[in-house]
Amino acid sequence: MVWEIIASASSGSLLVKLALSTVLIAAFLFLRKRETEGSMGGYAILAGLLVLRDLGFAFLPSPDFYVASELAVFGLLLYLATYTFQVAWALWVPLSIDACAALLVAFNASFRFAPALPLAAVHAVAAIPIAALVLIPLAKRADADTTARELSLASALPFGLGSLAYLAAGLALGPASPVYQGIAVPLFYGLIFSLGFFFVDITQSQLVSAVEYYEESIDSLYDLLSATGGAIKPAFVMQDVLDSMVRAVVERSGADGGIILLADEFEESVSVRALSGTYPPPFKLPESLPKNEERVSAFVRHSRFKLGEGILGEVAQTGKHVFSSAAGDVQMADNGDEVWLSAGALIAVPLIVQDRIIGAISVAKTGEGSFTERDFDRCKLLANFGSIAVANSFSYLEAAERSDIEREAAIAENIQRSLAPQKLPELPGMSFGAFTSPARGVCSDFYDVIQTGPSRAILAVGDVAGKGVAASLVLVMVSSILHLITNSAKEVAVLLQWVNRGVTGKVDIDHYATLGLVSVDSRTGEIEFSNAGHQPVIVYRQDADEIETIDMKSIPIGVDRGTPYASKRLGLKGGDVLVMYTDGIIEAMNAQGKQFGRKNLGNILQRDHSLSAREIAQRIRDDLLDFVGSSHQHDDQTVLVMKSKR
Amino acid sequence: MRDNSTAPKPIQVDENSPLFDKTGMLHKEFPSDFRQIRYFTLLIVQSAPPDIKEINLLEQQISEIIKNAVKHGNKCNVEKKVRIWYSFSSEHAHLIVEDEGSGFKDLEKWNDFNKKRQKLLEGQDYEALADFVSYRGAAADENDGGNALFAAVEYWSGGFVFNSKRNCVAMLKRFPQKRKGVELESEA
Repeated sequence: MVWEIIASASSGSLLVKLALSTVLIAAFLFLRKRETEGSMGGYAILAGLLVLRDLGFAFLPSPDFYVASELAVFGLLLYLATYTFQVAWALWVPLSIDACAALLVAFNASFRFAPALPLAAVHAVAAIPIAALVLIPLAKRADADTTARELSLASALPFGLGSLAYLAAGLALGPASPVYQGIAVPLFYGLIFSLGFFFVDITQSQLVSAVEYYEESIDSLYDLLSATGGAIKPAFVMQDVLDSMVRAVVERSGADGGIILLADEFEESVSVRALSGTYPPPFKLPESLPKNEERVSAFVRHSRFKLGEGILGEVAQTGKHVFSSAAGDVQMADNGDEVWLSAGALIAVPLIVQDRIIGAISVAKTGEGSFTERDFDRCKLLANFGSIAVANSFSYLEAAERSDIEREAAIAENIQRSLAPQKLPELPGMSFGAFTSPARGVCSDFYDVIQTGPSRAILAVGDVAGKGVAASLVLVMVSSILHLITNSAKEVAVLLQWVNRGVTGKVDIDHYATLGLVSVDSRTGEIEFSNAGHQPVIVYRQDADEIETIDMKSIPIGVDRGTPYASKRLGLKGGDVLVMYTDGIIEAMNAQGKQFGRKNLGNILQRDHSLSAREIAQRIRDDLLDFVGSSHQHDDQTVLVMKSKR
Repeated sequence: MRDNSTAPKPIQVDENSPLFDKTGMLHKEFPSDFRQIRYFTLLIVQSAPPDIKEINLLEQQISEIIKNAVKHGNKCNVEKKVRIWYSFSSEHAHLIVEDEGSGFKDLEKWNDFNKKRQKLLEGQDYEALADFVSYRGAAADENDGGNALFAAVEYWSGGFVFNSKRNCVAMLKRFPQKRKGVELESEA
């Protein structure tokens, strides 16, 4: 028996059919790896069933069995081709009829309850699943958006017609006909095999369109970056970046117009910062606004929305997208019947950088225009990259602003440094020491020792009110005038009056300065002191081991052209020390909020009077640093020390 | 953060206000020389950091306060001192100004005046408002604009408080800080 079957198989069509269905299984199993929806697996199972059916028919060559199996095969085909369309009765009704017919034949073959059952008629029932297999995908063609559905739709007609021809051959020739089994059935298997080619074709074209999509995306990103990058010029203007960005997005999404909104710096709101094309506003325009394009566009350009207010405020608050593919999708304000005013299709996407919404982009089409899913994707993509461009621009501006402040501070420091004496002069019987420590960005202290004769010098310590370049310019004025006039033998009070007259009211900048002047004759130890609003000088008297504070009530330079200044005379003996300083020394504050004070300064003199003038200045500096610790230095600090060696 | 109320802000009298805490504040004192007010102002403002944007406005406000102390507090008596404590950062300006005068006697009158003025402003009664354009105390002269205090109370939005003797006023201004976008609500 088995031998006979093998013999007949090897001589007949069975071998061809088995070979074909095995190839089918292999083909569908292979294709299964290329899809995720499972339909190829289904076809592989179908091919497996065909193998079993053919083997079974070889053992049991009953027409009933064959017809029943045919009905089962078409039922399965119908199911595989259409279940993804999610149609209810259109699938289940033909499937049920098909199954009933198959069961009827099978039971009749087993129990013979209806010997006269016209087998051909039942076989013809297979036309019903074949028809459904063609009609369902055609009727649902609009839904054909997955690979499996596309496959069903693309193969529906050729496959349906082929199946009908196969069915007709079966009806005409009868299942047992060698011609049918030898030619029609293998051809039908070939037809099923062709489904695989359809599938490959579909996935191939999907791949091509995906590549096209990404190519376009890359193109649009390139456009965006080259447009926004072009705005970064030596004179950088944020507006240029935003303008080129909105233009790129409008162009790439095919919109009629678009806007960019940025979150406001100090308010809980977003403002329109750039507009391109005709953007039909999705928000209500005031009734009073004339409906001409210029006025409306100007209005839109200056619109501001509180966070959460309207569609645009909502996007800026929540970071959620708005996509209205065509008019009516999303409720928008009615601004009248003008086509250019009626927002139909609208896209609004947030600009997000590091979990912060920095703004939003919105594009729109007027009237009946519509957006596709692809336009929406494009906008999201451009918004993602655009937000990086905007954030970078902000960082650039901030850095530029900081560097402006730094540059000004550096210029002022340079001026101040160039005014400071390179080397203090040496007079017989007198030694000098000094230090100045500028506070970052302040640059208002000034000191000098100007030798005016073999044994005579003028000591000057001053402090300009204000800071930065403006202050350093006043320093230049005071210093220049001083150098010009110190050659006279006039008393220092007169010199102060001249400086004051030279500075006051001459230029239109603030130019107040305190200035203390001391002239010294090193042969006699005679000192003359005059003061314009500056700190008192302190003198250490070695004889008495005492600190003497010499103060004079006076007003600073720059207040009044006619200010008279007085002077005091005193004498320095050997070992005496005179110190001039600025308020930055005695007002230096430590972490406890305590000021250094004049008393501390006096204590240092009393302690270190035996050191040289230069060493004393160094000690003052060290003690001051110890005192303030890590506290911020808020003002320039300057000390000038003179010690009598006679 | 933002105070949108249009309710009149009265000048407060509160000796124990935290604004009188001088801890960590820089300090200077000046003679009451009217000619030097601009100079004193510069000395104070020069310690403000460069990143305060509206530094000129700050300068102007400080100048007004010093002017008040010199002129109305110490009556321009050069022997009397104006003491100033100050602290600045890019986020705040805090100032305490003390004079040796007899104190701001008309404080209640001023508050009352301001209240009425605000009411007229709200009611948009501009005709009646004409009488309330500026406040002039009994000691005011033709150089007093009468508007400085309105502007000051408005400017020093963090508080404008007198001590009980009313010769010392503490004030605070908070500078709005730049926001960089809106925090994305994390979706729980």
